[in-house]
Amino acid sequence: MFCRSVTSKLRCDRRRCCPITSTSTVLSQGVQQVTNRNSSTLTTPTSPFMNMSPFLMQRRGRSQTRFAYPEGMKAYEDDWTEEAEYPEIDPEIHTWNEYRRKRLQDELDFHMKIRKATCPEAKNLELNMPKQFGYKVFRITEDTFDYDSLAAYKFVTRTHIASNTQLPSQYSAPVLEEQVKHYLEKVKKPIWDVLQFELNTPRSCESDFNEFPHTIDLKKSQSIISQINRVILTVLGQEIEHLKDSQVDSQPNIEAFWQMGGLEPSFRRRNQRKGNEKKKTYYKLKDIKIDDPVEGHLHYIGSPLLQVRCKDPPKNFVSPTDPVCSRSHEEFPDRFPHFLEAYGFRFAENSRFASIIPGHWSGDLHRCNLLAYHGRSHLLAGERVDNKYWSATEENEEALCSQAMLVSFGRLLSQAFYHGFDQFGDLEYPFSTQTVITNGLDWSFFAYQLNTIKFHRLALAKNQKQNVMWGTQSESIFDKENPNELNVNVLGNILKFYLNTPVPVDVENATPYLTSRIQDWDDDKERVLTFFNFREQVCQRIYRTDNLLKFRPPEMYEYEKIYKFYFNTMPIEPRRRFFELPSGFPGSQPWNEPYKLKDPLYESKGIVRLKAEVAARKEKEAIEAAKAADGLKFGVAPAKSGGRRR
Amino acid sequence: MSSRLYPIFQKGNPQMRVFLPNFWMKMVRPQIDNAPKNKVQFVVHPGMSQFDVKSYLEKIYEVPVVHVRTYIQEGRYRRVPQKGYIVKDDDYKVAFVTLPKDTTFEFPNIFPEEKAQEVENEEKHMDILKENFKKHQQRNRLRPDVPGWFL
Repeated sequence: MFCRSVTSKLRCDRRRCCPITSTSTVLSQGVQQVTNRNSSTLTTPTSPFMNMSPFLMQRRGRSQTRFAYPEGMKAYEDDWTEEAEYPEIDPEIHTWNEYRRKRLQDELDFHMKIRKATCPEAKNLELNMPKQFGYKVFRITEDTFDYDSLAAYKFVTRTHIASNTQLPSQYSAPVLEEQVKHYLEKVKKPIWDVLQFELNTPRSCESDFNEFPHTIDLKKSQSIISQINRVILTVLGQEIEHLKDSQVDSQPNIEAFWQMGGLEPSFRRRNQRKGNEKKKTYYKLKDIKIDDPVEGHLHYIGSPLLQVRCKDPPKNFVSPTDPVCSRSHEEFPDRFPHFLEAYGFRFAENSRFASIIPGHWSGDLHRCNLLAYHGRSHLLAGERVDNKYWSATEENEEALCSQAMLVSFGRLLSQAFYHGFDQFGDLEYPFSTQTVITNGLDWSFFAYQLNTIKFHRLALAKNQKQNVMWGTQSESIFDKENPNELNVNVLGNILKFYLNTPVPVDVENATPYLTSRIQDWDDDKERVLTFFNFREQVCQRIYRTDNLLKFRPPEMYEYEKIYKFYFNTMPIEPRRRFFELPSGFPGSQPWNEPYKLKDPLYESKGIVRLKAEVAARKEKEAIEAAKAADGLKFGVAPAKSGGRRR
Repeated sequence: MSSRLYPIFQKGNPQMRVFLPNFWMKMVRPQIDNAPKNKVQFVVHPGMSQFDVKSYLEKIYEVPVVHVRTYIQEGRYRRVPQKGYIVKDDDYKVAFVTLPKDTTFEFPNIFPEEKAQEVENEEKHMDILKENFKKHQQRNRLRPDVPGWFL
């Protein structure tokens, strides 16, 4: 069996950073099986020349070096099976040409690398390895929601709204209702006191002219929510175990990154595709039509006001085989027909490294979200307030719906990532969570179940699952008829969310793809390397320091764009810039180069030499001191060391 | 509503009581087929802001407007034919206007089929006339000095 072994391509290794370009060459503990990124063959590469000496290779003729073995034909017994195992033939990929299949194999290798990384920090590192300066992302936050943008958020998270007014049937079980009645009486008075205090006392920020109404609103809701949470946990926590053993975070940082296929290509991309016909490489690009959908990267950045975490996840509202969880093609087509920019998704001008953070460190055992509170101050911010269409009650409710979708999806995605499930290999069991969106006065409750996260370009059309959400309209915490009393529905819902007991997952191994923790790695070098680079990426360090321009993407000046890039008006000038290099040459597309790992334990030659000198000097002084001490015994005068010349 | 600079009033000058706007808006076809139906696109005077666009539509045409987004599109660079040097078209401002959910707008069909047929017929007529003229020329190519009313 003859297989070509592909030699590694040149990489620009700069002296400043350590010459490590791929994690697989360094990490043996962090990766279970090494797959070479440069391999373009579909079978495992085995070279018959491994055991052959170079002398023998020179001796034999051309035909003999190809097919002859020094020890005769070897049987590779690992590959032998009695019945032939043919690989599956995907009807779509079968029609592709060779170039496209090679690129597909590279992508699948990338997906396997992420899966084989053993801890979430290593997975995050591997996600960012193919891009030196990060991904160009759509940056999504909770700050604004555009008019009539529910459709876009639905497509992007693929959620089906099962009901707009009712929570799932799990919450109307008689056991829960009895518990709620029991605790309601205890909790009513303290919450009433809290609300009276928080809403009637004046605050310094209210009289500050630098503060906007939406920032004041956020601060108010933060204080009300933290007080209510404190009340409930003290009352219920004495008798209920999962609340005794829960962790509470205040304004944690939650970030989620996912790739979305099925998006409309921009006009620049369409014009590029029109020019494909004239290129020499047209045979590679024949299959791509002008209107083919395109993949976009989405990044959610947000922080709930309060988050409650437990060891086990809350019980799933619906079994994964239910018809609600299977995708309806009318609601979720293979392709979104409009531009995402029309619905308020702004494309970020600067790149950003992918960071997936659930609000806690990876070693924490309390890694499942029970509850989270979010503020609704975006309804008071910006142009929304003065606009009679935009600030209508229906539109507000839709905005809250889309906020709940976004927020729960992001939180659950990062939770799943820290359980080992990434976007390219789908979830094995569904996750669910509860969100509360409040002002202090108006409360709305949402329950969300995550069934899939597999939305990238190759798998969007084949994914037959969807995510489900239930929610209520916003209600005031004070009763309509009797404003001196609290609304029983709202209080009941709050208590139900807390009393929803978490249940351990049915599966044998809840985290099949996490096999070790970074805290337990023995090798200092690997551990420090991964954590240091993971932290640098997640903090976006190269974009926050002003002096490190050398670590930022290179700039193409405007005259170069016009006179060299668009139109070649300077053919005699030497081609020294990065974009003038031939295509495929390393350095011609710096944003597509792999990330350069930084070794914090790296010591340059000068420092190594210095350290050796210092150590040698210290040894000398110790020897001389010892000699002097011994010399006194034997009557020898001590040698004069150092000192000025006289 | 205007970017004109008017002369300062001095005693004895005629008083200007009419201030005409020099803002203009040009409606433009959406470039995708499946554009959302409550969104309209305009090319606009580059001095107009989002509020100017909104008040222009609401006050002059009584169109309800929810939101406007504007941006300046860079003009295209191109080579001048037969000269070779590079030239840039002017920048222009594009406005995306969202109407309320209930209202829809479809860009009208400026080239309906009846008019297209008329244009075709006219072109055919012109072609026939040209052919006749050519035949006439061919017939009388050996008699260049004869006057036209005689042929």
